[in-house]
Amino acid sequence: MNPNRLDGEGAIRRDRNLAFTFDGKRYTGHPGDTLASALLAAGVRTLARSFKYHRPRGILTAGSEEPNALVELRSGARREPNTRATVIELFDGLEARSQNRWPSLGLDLGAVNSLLAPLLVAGFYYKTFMWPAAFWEKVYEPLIRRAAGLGRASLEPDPDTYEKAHAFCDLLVIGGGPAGLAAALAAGRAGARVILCDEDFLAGGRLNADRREIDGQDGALWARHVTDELASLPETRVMLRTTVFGAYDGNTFGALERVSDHLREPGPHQPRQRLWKIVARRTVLAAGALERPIVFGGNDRPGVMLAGAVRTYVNRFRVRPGGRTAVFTACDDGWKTAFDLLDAHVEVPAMIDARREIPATLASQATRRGLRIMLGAHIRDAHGARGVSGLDVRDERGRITHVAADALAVTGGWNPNTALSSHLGGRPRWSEATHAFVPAGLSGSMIAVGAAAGDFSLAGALRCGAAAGREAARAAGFEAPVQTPLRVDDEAVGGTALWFVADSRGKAFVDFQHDVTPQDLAIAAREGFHSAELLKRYTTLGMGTDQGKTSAMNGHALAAILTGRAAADLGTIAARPPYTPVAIGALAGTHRGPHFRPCRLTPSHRWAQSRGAAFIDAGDWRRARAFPIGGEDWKRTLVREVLGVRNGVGVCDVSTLGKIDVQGADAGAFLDRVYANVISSLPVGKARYGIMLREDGIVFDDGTVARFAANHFVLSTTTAHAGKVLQHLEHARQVLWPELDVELAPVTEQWAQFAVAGPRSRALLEALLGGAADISHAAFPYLACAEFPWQGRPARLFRISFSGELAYELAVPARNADAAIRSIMAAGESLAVVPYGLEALGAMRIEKGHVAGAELNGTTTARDLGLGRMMSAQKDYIGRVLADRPGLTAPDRPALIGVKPLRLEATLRAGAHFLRPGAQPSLGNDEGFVSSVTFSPTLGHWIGLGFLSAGPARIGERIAAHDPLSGNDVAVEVTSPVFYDPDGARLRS
Amino acid sequence: MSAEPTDIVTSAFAGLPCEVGRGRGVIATEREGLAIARIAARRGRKGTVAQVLRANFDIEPPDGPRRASGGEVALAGIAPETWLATREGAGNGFAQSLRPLLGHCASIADLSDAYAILRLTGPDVRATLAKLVPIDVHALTFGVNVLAQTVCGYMSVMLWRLEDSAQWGPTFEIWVGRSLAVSLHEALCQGAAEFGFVREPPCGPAHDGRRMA
Repeated sequence: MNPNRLDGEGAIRRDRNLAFTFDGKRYTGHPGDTLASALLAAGVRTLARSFKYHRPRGILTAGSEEPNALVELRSGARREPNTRATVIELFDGLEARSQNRWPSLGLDLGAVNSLLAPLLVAGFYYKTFMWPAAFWEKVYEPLIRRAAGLGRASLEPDPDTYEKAHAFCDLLVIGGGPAGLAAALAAGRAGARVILCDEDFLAGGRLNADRREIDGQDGALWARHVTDELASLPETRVMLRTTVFGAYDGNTFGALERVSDHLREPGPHQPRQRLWKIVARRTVLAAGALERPIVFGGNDRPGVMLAGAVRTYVNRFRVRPGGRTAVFTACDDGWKTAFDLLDAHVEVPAMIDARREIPATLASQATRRGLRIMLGAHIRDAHGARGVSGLDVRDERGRITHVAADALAVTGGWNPNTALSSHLGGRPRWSEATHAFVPAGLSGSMIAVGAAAGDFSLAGALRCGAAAGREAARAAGFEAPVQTPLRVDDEAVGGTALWFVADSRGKAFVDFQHDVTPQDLAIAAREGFHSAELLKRYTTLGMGTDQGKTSAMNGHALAAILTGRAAADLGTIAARPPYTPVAIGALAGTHRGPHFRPCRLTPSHRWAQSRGAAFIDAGDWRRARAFPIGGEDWKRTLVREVLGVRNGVGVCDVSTLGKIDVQGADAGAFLDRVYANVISSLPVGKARYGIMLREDGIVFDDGTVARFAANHFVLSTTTAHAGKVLQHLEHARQVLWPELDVELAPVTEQWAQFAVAGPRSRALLEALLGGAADISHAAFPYLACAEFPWQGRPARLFRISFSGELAYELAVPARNADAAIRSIMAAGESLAVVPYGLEALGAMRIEKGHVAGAELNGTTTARDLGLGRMMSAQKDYIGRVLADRPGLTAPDRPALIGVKPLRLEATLRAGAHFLRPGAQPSLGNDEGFVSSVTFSPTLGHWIGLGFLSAGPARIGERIAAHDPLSGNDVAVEVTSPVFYDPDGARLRS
Repeated sequence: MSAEPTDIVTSAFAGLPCEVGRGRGVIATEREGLAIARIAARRGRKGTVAQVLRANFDIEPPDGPRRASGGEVALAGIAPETWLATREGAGNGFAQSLRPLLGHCASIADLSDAYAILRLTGPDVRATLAKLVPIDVHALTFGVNVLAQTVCGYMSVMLWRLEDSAQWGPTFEIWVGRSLAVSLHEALCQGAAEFGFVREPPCGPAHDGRRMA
């Protein structure tokens, strides 16, 4: 069943089998396997088809850098494309499918693209789809979009949950290999707060993949003991399955914890993934190194695998890559692979090293094992229809030897994993010693250690890691004693750079995921794309989901050679976040669906629910839109509620209006400076309508100001601007006029406020308040305000009206809101009180010509709104000077008017533009627009407010309201914006 | 005039689940009846305010985001020269009672109804808060009586650390504008569900508590 599974435990648990399927076929693996190791054990070599040429691809790596083995994981709503088989932790019942193939992985008709390879080179799209230009939008782009993309995302809603979390530490260790473990241990033992993150589900890094000894014990076992000790330290957290994907300002890092990805589905109340924001005083970058392939003919065939990955599969997962596995390298590290294979009883038909000389220790070990060595040799071609079956090797004399092999381990050396070192502007520098880029220009709080810093020796990793951990602990105030260095076995880490084999036969690939070849790079170089950044974009090298982890360095080196420069002179290789892909769901966290954003509920929300209210989200708030009865449609409800108010009495929760308490000896003077009209003259016990301007003279907000004492005012703001007005006033108080004695307190949440409106409102309130307040017209006239105790708690009453009727607003402490609204309804029962919602509120304010958000839209002046007379000439105030700019005082500016349709049955639409009758709809003929519309229950037809050029002088004129969006053109008459009770007699009754 | 008493709801968390998940990792209790008054010193009168508060309540007003208490009254610094004074069970009259003492040197605003407040405790309260607020609530960095004005799921909140509970360990209070009580509760339930969330009484008839699977 699993022909490639070797004896021994490795890091898998052989006592348990896990069943899974790939392309519908059943397989088994063990706990501790990845999907890649389990498929490899089962002898599956081809897992995917490449993006462009649909070439069969196998497994190249054993980590998150994998460019080839991308599969669709799971099914139905959980189907996830482009998942790397090398990091999928096997679980029972796992389903995976190959992607980018049709009809099957074995027979993919898309492979015909390979025949077009001479055409499909770098710049193909740019050169081919230029003509005819008109074809681009209708033909070329749709075709290209259809052909592009890898895998199929599920179109169903994601059934899983995601969440975000925050963590803080003295030391963040990125990477749980030997250097990272040593750093975490040194700092953790000293008592520092340490977080160690590793993307793997097993800490240890290469210690799990290589056969090493630390202090006389097996390296993997040492890693396990250290991990256990770290987990036991009270201030240390080991976070496995967690990828630190980005470094951000303020020593902040983004990390993705795959909480449940290794399970069939998340447990109860468990998220699938958790996005961490980690703030660290110090960071140790111990992210290790990424092995680089060699570019030679057939280097993408299934069976060709990086040599370090081969050791991972052999030692950790106890899986051999094939029956006869050759090794091709130019560095010492490759030899370890050959030795491990031989020691695992896997046949190694040839050890091919491009170097002519190798260290004597390697030679003697090879001789002892009887290994066939080919020095100074290169592989020109790896051939085989469905995977490697043989190799053409050119020896140092130029002779071609055929080596039969069904697998090939390749290594061109290791690149320090510098990605996170460059997120904050660090520019990796070229190191001749390691033939790779190493971190440089790091911020003072980050240090790279071990292989990530270009130190590939185990002894160096442990030493530098521990030193960095101690230093981080000291910086946080913890004393960390120097420990005796750990003893490790000897190792050889030398080598030369081998980027590509010049006389390759067959197709060679630099970027496996995007099928970028040396020929593509040559074309780009020939066409003048000499900058590494331009070259990358022109060829798409490194632009796949792997972000060039296995291709960027080889591409860089090849480009340097092609343009006749040294690698160091071509620039550097920097990375941007995220290090590996992050699901949008994880970024959204819990903020999706009904929890997309917080929602403010009005104080009477539960009572409104009990009355069957229909709600609408308006800004931050969820408000009662209307209170329909039975099967009423919206219009019937609107008519009933409006006429109920106009002919009797209604009640509406208006608590959403902002309320700001202003106190202080200079409160009046302060308000004079922020309002356009005079406030300081307002008598105690009275309220006044006020408007605020922005610095640029545009109207900012409107509302009422009530004066409860000489030094005590309460402002109301619009619902939408409540926060901004407070911010504006605080700025004025703290920055513009710090000498004034003014204190501001936001009290919106403290007071629940109910509008009680209609000719019977006084009767209702008299019944409600009893003797608590005298609200007779004489004692409590229009625009009066008072505070008094009611039902044992404070209450405030304002005689103000938004509806145009005799009306009051009653404010009670918010905890009393439920009791108050029920009391209001009870008091009004005999008066047929109607609760009304936002819809009726809006209709009545339009009937009355009151401006609201659609009119206070950030482009209108007080004069535009018909409020020019409120702009005091007696004092200075914010916005006064700029409100007099010529452009804002031009007589033909659009100004507020009302409109009604000539055909009274016609419907008006907000947003329609005004045109003179017969004028063509064009920008030049545009004379203004409709800002608000409603069906007027009082008048029995639609009405609207809008802004018309020189509007107030054109009352009675007939114009067109043109709405190209709905195709609705309506002939309208320009009217006064006040449709109802223009003299305000009802307000003052 | 009065409505049926059983109809009346005063709790900001009425009708919301009292248990989510299994266990008691996070235990929440609504704080009801706390009188809250905002005291802002008039320009240049901070010293006088401090003197009055010392003399009447034996409290030194904290000069930063901390809480100090004396008997039933506590003061929390929420802005420069501005404090929230609280008193158990004193109602809206508390702010009124401060005016004769402080009216000449401070502006007083009653905020007793402005907040929905949950006291949070339990072994997993810090792990839950880590999901909700972007600040470090570790015992060493967020000490007893420290408070922070921060955000929780895009909501402005105040978070205070109280003395640890002998039974349940770390204890905090989270304050949010009353209109956001339901959204805060939802965020808390989501964050604490894996540990088990319990909202202790009051969960009576006016609170209509129910269990959520």
